[in-house]
Amino acid sequence: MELHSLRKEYTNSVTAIQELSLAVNRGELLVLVGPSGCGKSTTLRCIAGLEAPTAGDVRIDEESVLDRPPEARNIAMVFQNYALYPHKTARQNIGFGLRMTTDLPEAEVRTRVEAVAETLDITELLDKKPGSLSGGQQQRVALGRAIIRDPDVFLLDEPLSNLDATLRSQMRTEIQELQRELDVTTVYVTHDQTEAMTIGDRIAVLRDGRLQQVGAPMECYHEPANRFVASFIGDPSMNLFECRVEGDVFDGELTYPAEGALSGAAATAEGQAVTLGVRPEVPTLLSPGDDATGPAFSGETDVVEPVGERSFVYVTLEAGPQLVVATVGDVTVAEQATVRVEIPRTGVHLFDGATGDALHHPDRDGANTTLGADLPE
Amino acid sequence: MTTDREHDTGSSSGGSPGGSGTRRRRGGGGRTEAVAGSTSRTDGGSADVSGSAAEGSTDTRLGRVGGALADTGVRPLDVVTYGLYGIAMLFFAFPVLWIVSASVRPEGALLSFPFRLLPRAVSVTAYQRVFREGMVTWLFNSTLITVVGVGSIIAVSVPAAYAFSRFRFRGRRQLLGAVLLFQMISSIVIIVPLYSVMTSLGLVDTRAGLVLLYVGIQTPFSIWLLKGYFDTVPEELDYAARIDGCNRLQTLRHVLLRPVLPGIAVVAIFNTVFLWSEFVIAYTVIGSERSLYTISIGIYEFQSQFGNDWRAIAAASVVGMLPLVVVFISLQRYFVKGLIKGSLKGQ
Repeated sequence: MELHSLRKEYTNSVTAIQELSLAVNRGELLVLVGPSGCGKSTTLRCIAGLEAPTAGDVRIDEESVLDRPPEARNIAMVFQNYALYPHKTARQNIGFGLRMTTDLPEAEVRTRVEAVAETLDITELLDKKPGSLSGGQQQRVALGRAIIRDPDVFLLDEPLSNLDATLRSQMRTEIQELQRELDVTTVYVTHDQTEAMTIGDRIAVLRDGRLQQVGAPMECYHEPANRFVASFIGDPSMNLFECRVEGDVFDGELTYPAEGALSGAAATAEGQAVTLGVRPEVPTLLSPGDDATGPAFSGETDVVEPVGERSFVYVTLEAGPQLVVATVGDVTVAEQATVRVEIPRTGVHLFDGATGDALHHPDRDGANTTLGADLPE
Repeated sequence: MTTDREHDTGSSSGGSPGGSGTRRRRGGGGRTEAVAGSTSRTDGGSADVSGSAAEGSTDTRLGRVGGALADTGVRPLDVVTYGLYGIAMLFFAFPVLWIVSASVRPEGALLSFPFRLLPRAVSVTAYQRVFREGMVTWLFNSTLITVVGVGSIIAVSVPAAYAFSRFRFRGRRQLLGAVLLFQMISSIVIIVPLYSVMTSLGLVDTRAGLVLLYVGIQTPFSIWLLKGYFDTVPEELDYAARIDGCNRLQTLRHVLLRPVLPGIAVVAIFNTVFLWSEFVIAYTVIGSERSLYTISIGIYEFQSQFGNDWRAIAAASVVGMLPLVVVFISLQRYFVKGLIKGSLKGQ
C-alpha cells in the first residue's frame, strides 16, 4: 500500500495532512503515531475511502483506489470504539460484511463466522449483543468482523485505547500474533508511543500532518530524525537542553564540553543554537567518592519513581534544568538529596537549535554517528 | 337555573350544584358530595371517611398512622409525595373522567345536582346517536388520513434527518435553519393562502390534499426531532457499514434505523395525536364534503346555533380518544426510552 503526496484540506482552511508519502510493504505492520490532531486518523480514513483526499494518491497492489468506494477497496477497519452494530448479535456483526459484499450462501457465511470466532476464542459469545460484552470481547468481535473478509489491507484506528492497561497489553500481543498469522498488510494508528514501539515493524511519526520520520522502532528511538521525534518517542522522553556553541563548550541550560564528533556536528548547524539530547538511561548516578570518567553535574533529587525493574530519578541540576535518570533495580537515593550525575559523551545527541533536525547521534555500540548532510526531509 | 335542589335521580337538567345551606365535603379522588344542611336527601347522604373531626384527636390518629407506616417500611415522605402525585394525576385526568361520565349519562342528567362523577344510571343513547350520525365514517377517514399521513411524514423525515445529520454540504446550516423557521409559522396563520393553493391544485375536498398539507406542515418539526436522534448515533457506525459494503441507503436501513427507532416512535406519536385531533385545517380542506369528515369535524357537527348536544360530543370524544390510547400504549416504551435517550451522554 502506498501513499503518494497525500494532502487533505478542510473547508475551514485546516490542513490535516500535508504531502504525506509512505510505502507499506506486503504483510508489514506499519504504525502511524503522533500526538492528537496530527492527521493519523484522517490518513487512515483516506486510505479506507471514508474521506476523499484533496490531492495525492492511494495505491493498493500498485493500483490507484481513489475512484473506488470503501466497499470496493477490499480493506477492513477496526475503530477506536469498535463501531459494532448494537442491535445485531456478535454473529450478525461478524457476518454482515460477507452478506453485503458476496453472494455466499447462508450456510457458508455461518461456517466462516464460526471459524473466525474459534480463531479469536469468542465462539460462546456469538449469540450475544455488543451491549452485553466486555470491552475486550467487543474488541475481538470487531477484529472478527474485520478479518472474515480476508482484506488486502487491515486498518486499525487506536483499537486499544478504550481498554485498561492489562487488557491492552494482552490484546496488543494478540493483534501482533493475528497479523503475523494472517500475513495481511496492516496500518495501525495510535497516539501511544509505547504501543507503537512494541507492536510495529516500522513506525511513522506524524506531527501537524507532516511525516517526521519512518523507520524501525529502535531506529526511531536511537536515531530520531529531529527534536520532535526525540521527545515523542521514549518514555520518559529524551532530556533536551537548549545551548549555544561558545568556543569549546555548549553553554546554556547546561554547560557541556564541545569536543570531537560533537564539535564537528555542531559546526553543521544553521546557527549557534543547538539542542543537546540525552536518553534517561544514559546518565549515571555517582556514589559519593566515585570518580567521574565524563562530564558530571551536581544537583538535587526532586522525585524518585520506582516502576518495578527500573526507577526514574528526577534531578534538578545546579544550573537549573531538570534531568530524568533511569536506573536499574532499587535506588537508594532519597528525595531532596544532593547527587552527582555523569553524562558520558558517547550518549549525547545533538540537534540543530533552529530547525530541530538531528545533527549527531551516539552509535549504539558506543561510537558516534554524525549525520551531516544525510538529514531526512 | 332552578332554585330547588336537585339530585341524580331528578328529571330536570341544567341545574347548578350548590346553593345556600349546603355543606360540601371533598372525599378521596376529588369527588365532592353535597350534604344538605336543612333539607333531606333521598339518597340518605354519605359521609367521608377522612377529615371527620368526630373520631378522636388528630394527633392520636396521625400517631397510629405513622406507626403503621413504620411497620411496613414506607416512609411518611413517600406517602406525601405519592399522595401529591395522585392528586395531580386526578387533576389532569378529571376532564377525561368527566367526559366519560358525561357520555353515559341519561338525557337530562348531564348537569345534575348534586354533582356525581359516577352517574346513578347509565345510558348509551349518546353513543347510539353518534354512530347513527356517521362515527364509523369519521373513524375510517381519521384512521386513513392519520396512517397515510404519519407514514408519509416518517418516510420523508427519516432520510432528510439522516442527510442533515450525516452529509456535509454547502448551505446545510442555512437549510436546517430554514426548516426550523418554517416550523415556527403556525399553519392557522396561513390557512387562507393554503386554501387558495389547494383550490388551484384541485385538492380541496380530497383526503390526498389534506394528507399533503399535514405532511408539509409536520415534516419540519419531525426532521428537527429525528436529526437529534441521528446525531446521538456515532458516525463510526456509518463508516463500519460503508466498509462492510453498504451504500448510504443500506446504511440507513440496516444499521441506523434500529438505534433511532425510539425517535421514530416519538415522531409517530406526536404526529398521530396531531393528525387525529386536528380540526382547523381539516375543516378548511374537507369541511364541505360530509363523507370525508374526520372525527374532529364530526364532533363539531353536534354543536349548532340551537344548542349543543354535550352528551353526544362527550360520546364522540370518548370514541375518538380510544385509538390514540391504544397507539400510545403500544408505542410508549419507545416513547419513554426516546425521551430519556437524549438526556444521557453517549447513549
